Amino acid sequence: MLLEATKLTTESLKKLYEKHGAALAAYGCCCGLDFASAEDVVQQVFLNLLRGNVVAARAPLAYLYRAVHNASLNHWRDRRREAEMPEGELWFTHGTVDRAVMLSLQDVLRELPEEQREAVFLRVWSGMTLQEIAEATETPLNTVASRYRYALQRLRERLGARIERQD
Amino acid sequence: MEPQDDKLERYLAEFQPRAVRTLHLSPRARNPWQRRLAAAAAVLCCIGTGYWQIHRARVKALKGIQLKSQTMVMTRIGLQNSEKLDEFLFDQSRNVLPSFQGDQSTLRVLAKE
Repeated sequence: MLLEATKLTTESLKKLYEKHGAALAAYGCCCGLDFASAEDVVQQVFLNLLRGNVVAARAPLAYLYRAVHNASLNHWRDRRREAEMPEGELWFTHGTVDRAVMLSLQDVLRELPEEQREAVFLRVWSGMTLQEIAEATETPLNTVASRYRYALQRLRERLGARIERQD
Repeated sequence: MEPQDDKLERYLAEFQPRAVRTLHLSPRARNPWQRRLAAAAAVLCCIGTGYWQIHRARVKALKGIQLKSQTMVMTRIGLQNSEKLDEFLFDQSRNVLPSFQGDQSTLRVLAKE
């Protein structure tokens, strides 16, 4: 079933930005951007929606992740000759974990296949259930569940020892 | 989901994406088509004004030449034959006199008197 196109109100977009802007910027960083560029890309995606240049689908969050992904790739393609991505830039924060752990989490997220990464972000940092992700991305629930499981498996392989240490 | 997945999920959720700057809403930008249309209208306006100025200058110059040449012709006729000048002026007056059609025209007013 095709998603109905709806125009989001300014207020709802502002709320979406406040709640998910940071996760979307981190997602943009996963696509190869530095944090400042990812922030710009996220702002641009929201401004396009606010100006009515584009119309979001019924599932705005999934649309936003896709839009940020596409815009990030375009941005990366345009700018890759101008600037190299800064080494060791953090786009996550954590109260107790050290820098090396955060960098390795970022590396794993960057290495994940696009669909798996999208599932992890939507589930962990945007708080959607697997059922909601399946509906928003128009993907069968089983597919979403296995993508998510594979992603977690990979993350566990890389961060497992640290999680155990955390306990 | 397995318990170990829950554990990992909770662990991942402890990492907070770095905060982003506030969304600044710039004044509503005009549609690119509106801008193009405005630019095209401005260009057309400039071309139109330029053309009108040239046309006006040409008409003015033409009128000046006509008047000058008419005066010269009349002087020449007057010098050669004064009767012919009267005839010429009589002919010209037919063209120059105001129209009889208008309610307030000089001829109509004179005719009433």
